[in-house]
Amino acid sequence: MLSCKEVSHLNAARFDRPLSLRERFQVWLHLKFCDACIRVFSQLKFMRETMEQYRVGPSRNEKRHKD
Amino acid sequence: MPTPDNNTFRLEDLAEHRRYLFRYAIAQMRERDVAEELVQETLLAAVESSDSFQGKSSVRTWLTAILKYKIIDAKRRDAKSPVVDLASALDAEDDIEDFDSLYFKSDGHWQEPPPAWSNPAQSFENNMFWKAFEECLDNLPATTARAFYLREITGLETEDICKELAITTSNCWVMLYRARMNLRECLERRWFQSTSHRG
Repeated sequence: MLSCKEVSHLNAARFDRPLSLRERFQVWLHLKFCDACIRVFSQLKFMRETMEQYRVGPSRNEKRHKD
Repeated sequence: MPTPDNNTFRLEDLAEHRRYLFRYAIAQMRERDVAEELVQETLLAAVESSDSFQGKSSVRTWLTAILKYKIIDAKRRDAKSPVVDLASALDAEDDIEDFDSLYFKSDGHWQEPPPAWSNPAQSFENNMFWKAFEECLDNLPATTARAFYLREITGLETEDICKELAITTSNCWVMLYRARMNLRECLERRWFQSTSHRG
C-alpha cells in the first residue's frame, strides 16, 4: 500500500493532471484506512475554492469610500 | 453587486485589489518592476474609465480584464528582447526529499497528522482570513509562486505552465505540489490553529 507521503503527492496532483486508473485505485485504498490523508485532501479542495473566491474578489460594496 | 455612490472609482477604492493584480502580472511577466508598473497602469486606466464598469462582473474581474490587455501589450513590446534562461531562478533546486521530510518521516508517515479544519467555508467572510491567505502566498518561493498563479489564477494547463516557465513537466508538478503543501501548512498555522481571530 502507498505511504501517506506518496498519497499526498497524488492527492495534490489530482488538481493538475488526471490520475491513472491504477493511481486512483491506490489512493482510494489508502484513504479507506487513513483519516489524516482524507482531511488533507479536503483541505486541498478547500484551497482550490479559496483561489476561486480570490479571483472574484470581495463581493461587498466595493465602491464604498473610506469612512 | 456594487452600486456606485458616485460615478468614479478613486485609486484608493481599488487598492485592495493591488496584491491580487500583482500576482496575476508577476505570473506572466516575472520581473517585479514590470509587474508593479502594469498594475499601476491598470489601476490608473480603471480610474479613468470607471464608466466602463457595468457591475455585471466583480470589480476584480473587471480590473483583471484591463490588466490582461496591458500584459499582452507588454509582452509584444518585449518580444524582441532575448528570453532569459530561467533555470537559475528555479526554486526546485533543493531536493524534493528534503521538502518531503518537512512533513513526513522516512517511512512515509506524517510527522504529525494534520488536524481537521473547522468550518473552513466561513473564513471567506472574514477579512482577517484573506490577510493571512495573502501572507501565505507571499511566503511562497518566487518561481513556485509563479507556477501556482499560472495554474490557479491564470488557469493554464500544466503543459503551458512548463512552457511559460521553461521547465520540465516533472519540475512543474513538483513546484505545484510544493506550492499546495506549503500553502496548506501555512493556512493551518496562520489561521486554522490560531485562535486570535476567534473573538
